[in-house]
Amino acid sequence: MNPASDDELILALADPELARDATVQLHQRYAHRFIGYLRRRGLDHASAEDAVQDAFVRLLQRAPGFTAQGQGRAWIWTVARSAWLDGLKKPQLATETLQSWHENDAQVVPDVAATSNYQDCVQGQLQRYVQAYPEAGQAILWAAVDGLKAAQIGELLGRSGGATREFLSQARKRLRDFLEPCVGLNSP
Amino acid sequence: MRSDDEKWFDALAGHQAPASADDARMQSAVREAASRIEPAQGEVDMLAQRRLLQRLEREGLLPSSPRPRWRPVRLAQAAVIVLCVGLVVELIRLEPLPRFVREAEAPMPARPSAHAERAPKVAADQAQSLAKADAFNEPAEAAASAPQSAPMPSGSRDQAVGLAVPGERRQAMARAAPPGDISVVVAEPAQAWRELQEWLAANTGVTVISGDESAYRISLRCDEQSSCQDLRDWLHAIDQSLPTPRMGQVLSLRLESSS
Repeated sequence: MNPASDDELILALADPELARDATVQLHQRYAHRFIGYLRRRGLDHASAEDAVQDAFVRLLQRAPGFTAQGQGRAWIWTVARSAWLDGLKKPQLATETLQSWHENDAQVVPDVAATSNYQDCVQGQLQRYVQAYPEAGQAILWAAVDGLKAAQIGELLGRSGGATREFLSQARKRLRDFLEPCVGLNSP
Repeated sequence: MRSDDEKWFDALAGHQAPASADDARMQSAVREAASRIEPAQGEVDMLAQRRLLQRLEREGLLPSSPRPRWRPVRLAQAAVIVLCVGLVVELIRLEPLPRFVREAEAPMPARPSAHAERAPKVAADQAQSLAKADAFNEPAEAAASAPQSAPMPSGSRDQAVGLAVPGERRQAMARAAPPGDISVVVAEPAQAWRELQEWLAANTGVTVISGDESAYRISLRCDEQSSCQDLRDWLHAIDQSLPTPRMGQVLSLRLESSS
């Protein structure tokens, strides 16, 4: 049996008889990702866990208004991030400025692992990239893992259209810089 | 109009074909690396999950957790206890407490036989009082005087009444005194007979209906309230338990020796 899609689980959240099982499944899928996102934004583990609970409270509250259109993942992240912005008011959740990226450039030096494998190199460099630029790294993860389109990522970032385009351009350029040392390596 | 960067991100998300072979290679490698950084199913923190479910229940967003299987057993045990307590309370309510107390105060099994032996005497005493009451047509007053004439130990009163069934009580009353006669026990019946005659001579309000000096038996009637009062005083001087005569009623007395 195929696992339920995110859309199906969100619809199940609005059904009192199915809400518990749906919550458990969504928690298994998203709790570690929420924790990772929040920890990269500077929250300690306990605060991040509380914020995860806040996100699920908001998900269950908003579930009755959800319309299944294949956009479940974007909806989940949008609702979770709105809960965090409303509840935490933490500076860690503030939007990263491009200026801060330039200030970090001197400290962030790509460290290519001593490997001849292209995939391993990309793996290590992406890890460092996400740590160095949490919001940009999250944008890459939203696209690569969740399949979110650029427009959806822009909504999650909470930036205007022009700012989103500039942000995505800078994020792509820095990722290319991080992965540049891997280009000459062979694939397995 | 989407920029190249937006198209690149859409291609990374799998919604658009990569712009070049190099992009395709890099995006494929990034997707695989990203899925390792954030796997679809991470390590489940069961404790955190339980805390989340408890909070959602508290906030009314989830129904209460399913009841454990042992709960119906506990409920059944509680129901049995409640039924038992209710049954005991009902039994106590049906059996009045004073009866329990009297039975608890009652003698041990060997003693009721002694009371049974005394029962005829007690019944006879009561019969005597009842006979006096019948003579004066005052059953209520006689019933009240019966316990005084035969005081019994605590707990024996009910048993005496219970053992002396109505038929036996009537037989005991019949043996004690003829119907209508009131026994007046005195030390010297002859002397008392003379005193009674002198008293009757002095009190004109009392009419002598018949008299038998050999048996010291006399039937008389008080015709005035004051004479009834005087007769009562004369009788109570002999025995306080004797009933009070009423005006117009026939009173049959028999003087008996106390020896």
